[in-house]
Amino acid sequence: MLVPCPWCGERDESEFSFGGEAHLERPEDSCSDKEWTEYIFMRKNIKGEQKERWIHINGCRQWFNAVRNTTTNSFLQTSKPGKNYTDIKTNDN
Amino acid sequence: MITDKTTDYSKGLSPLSELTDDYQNSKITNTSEFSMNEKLFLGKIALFGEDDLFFEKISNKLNISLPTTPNTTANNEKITALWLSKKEWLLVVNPSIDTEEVRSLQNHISDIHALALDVSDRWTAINVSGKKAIDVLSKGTAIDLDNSVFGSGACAQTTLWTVNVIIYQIDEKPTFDIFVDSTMAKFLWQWLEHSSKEYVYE
Repeated sequence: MLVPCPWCGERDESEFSFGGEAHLERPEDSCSDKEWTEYIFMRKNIKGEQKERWIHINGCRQWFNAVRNTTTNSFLQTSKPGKNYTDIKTNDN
Repeated sequence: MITDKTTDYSKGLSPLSELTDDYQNSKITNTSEFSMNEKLFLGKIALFGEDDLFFEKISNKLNISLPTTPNTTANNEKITALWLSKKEWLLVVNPSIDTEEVRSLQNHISDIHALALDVSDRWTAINVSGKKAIDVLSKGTAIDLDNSVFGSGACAQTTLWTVNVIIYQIDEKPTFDIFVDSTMAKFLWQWLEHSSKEYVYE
């Protein structure tokens, strides 16, 4: 499978590492134990299109965001950190 | 492992000295199909930086514009600059670079958020060329090395048979320089030798 790195273009999946769900927001220091546990451990693990973080570990070593369909394991879109996705509906928004 | 062979080690021992000697002495029938050798003791500098002043300072000091397009290179008569990431480059200096020159470069960019490191000994370069060079390399990487896609002047960080490498295409014969960690060089050399057997030996 080829993964589209926002910098290097399409590369073999063996060059990449998965970084988990994207756009998690770290709660305030004053948060409850429950909120902290949610932040550290709980993930949506969506069946369908999900926003994720990936790193091109054996290439340019840059983190990026991706929309991947977890059922078909296909990448719909990738973007550099801080850049918005182009208009796309995923199952988690 | 140093044997009694009459090798000239006056310049020091390179990561592949032993293997290259054996390879050159072995029965090679057609080197226009595939040939490889180690490029000895090239100077290499890892360069990090990202702001406009950094690019300006490097351009003034080294007379080279660092490439900002991914997987491309720039060169002048002495230096080749390989794009590694949006803020990282590998400068390959031919034939070599001395400590004073690197220190001078470090001092030149010391007042900005940037770094120049002498990594000459971290990497060694295997020069691969011949009509079958792409066929051999393609056995170990998913990157499309065809001239219409990759081509002269292109570079890529990738894995070649599980070994992390930087592939740099010098010309369209084609000729490639493969930069590999000194510690992994022997493993990669042996793989290249094995993979090219069908083109090299009788």
